[in-house]
Amino acid sequence: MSKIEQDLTELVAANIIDQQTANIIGAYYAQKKEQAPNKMLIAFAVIGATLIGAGIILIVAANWDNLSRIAKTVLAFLPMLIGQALCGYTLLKKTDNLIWRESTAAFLFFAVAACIAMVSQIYNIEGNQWHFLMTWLALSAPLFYIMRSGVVAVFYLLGLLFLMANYQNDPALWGFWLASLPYYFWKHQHNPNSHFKLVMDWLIPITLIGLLLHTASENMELTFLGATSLFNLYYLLGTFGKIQFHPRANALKIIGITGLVFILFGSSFFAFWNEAVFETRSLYNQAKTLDYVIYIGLTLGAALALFVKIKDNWQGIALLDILFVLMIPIYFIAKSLPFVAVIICNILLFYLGIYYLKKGFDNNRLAHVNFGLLVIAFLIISRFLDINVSFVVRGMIFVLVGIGFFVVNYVILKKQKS
Amino acid sequence: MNKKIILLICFGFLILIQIYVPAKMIMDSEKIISEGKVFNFICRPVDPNDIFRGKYITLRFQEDEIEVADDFQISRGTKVYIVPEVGPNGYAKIKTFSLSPPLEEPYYLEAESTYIKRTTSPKRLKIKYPFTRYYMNESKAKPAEKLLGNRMEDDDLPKPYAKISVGKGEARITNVMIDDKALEDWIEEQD
Repeated sequence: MSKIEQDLTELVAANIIDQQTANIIGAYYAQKKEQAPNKMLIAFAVIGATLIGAGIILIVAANWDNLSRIAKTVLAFLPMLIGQALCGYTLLKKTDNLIWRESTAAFLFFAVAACIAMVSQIYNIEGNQWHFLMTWLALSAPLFYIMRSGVVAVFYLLGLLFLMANYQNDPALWGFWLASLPYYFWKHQHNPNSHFKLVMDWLIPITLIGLLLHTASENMELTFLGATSLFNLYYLLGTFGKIQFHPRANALKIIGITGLVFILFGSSFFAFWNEAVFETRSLYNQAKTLDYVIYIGLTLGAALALFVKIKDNWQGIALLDILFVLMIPIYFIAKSLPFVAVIICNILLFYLGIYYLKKGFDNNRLAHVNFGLLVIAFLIISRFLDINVSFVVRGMIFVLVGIGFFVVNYVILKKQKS
Repeated sequence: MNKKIILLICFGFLILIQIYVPAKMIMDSEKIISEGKVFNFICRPVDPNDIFRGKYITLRFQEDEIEVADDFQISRGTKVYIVPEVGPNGYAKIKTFSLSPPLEEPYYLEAESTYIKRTTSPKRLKIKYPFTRYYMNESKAKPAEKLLGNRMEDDDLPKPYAKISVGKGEARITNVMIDDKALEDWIEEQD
């Protein structure tokens, strides 16, 4: 007997609901369970297919010398042909079966890589890793559309991140990123709570950050302003309320807040402005037209999002919503009077901490209270790292901040209980 | 039903492309070997820490410098087109080089510039060939490295050389030889 059935029997026995209601509730849960795919099974099937695929690559890498070239070539194609046959069978007979779709697609994804890698070895084709990964991704992009496979889409985006982390700028990367978007929006509409969609919620904006950093030259002034606009855009989109995100894992909002708070903390240090932002001595770091285009584009995007949000609910606008606007005058002030900019940023951070503390207290939200506390605590600690005070004083400050955390959390918990 | 047919057609195309790409790699490779001309490039010692990389051995070649004018400038990684010829000793040497493909030549290969040696007069441009890896069995690559190393250090013995098939722009390594015997055969005899 399942837990729900036990509860229903208990409720009927206690005369809280009648047997008919209990039957209806029981039937509802039974049907819901049938519709939901078995998550464990999907996980095991995908992990199994991935392991087999990766295992084949490793076996292949051993490069058997005793086989003839023809035999090796046949072996190189074999896993891919098997993967294609399995995917074809899935499309024909099991097209609605999630487990079949995900696991066969994952297998084919790795088998394609194994085939290309083996052929390169057998024929001594000196391709570089960049070329290999680009070919692999290009051959896999249609796979997640045709097989409707979330796991391949996730692997694809991870591959893209790897390419960005390891290689020089290449406009083709934009094409690869754009190619994943229609699938993501399709998933967002049809299957918003699937696990792979939730992972893509994170990967899509993170790969975009990587792409922008890749495309822009290393001019720190524009990177700084552009990053503020981008994170602000993420934050605004994440808090719209119009786009429905998973309530407990609103990736856009979390990435946005994290980025914005990091930027504010950076700007609260004197050295940040002098040594990082205004470090444009080398010719290499000169801003190019493209940098301005990116910055203006991001800022216009954030401004549009802000405009919509103000129209929607202007009273709900808070500091984090407009930070990218505030950063523009702060940036110009910092150019001539960095000390003033640093003071403004410190005040903004302190305000941010207090704002979240108050919001949390008012709404009994422990997460907000702790976020506010964290901001204030880091602010205090950073300032004590800045100035020369004795270790005893520093230690005492740390202890006080820690005690503060305990006390506030205790008060909130007590308030929540009452 | 219609949707399913469209999906299957798309999948059919994907299968064809997935097979075509590696098949094309093989066909291109075979074409270079069948239509190209074989040149024997003498190997040069490699930093011992660099030669053995698991499944392949790294090769460097004696003939990897070109005389350039004193005012010649080039950035690292620029494509350099090399026209090889058979030298008096029977091994490959560089006939000419250019910065654009010498389309009128029957055989040439695409290499990369590395740096300009400024200590010599005239100055010499160092290039990197696109065939530096020779894949071998895991168990054979290690003894092969030793054998090659010994041979390259001893000046009295004939040097190992690589057979390179050169086509129009591309080149493939087909064999590494010592005394006109394939490296693999040497290793097998040792066992």
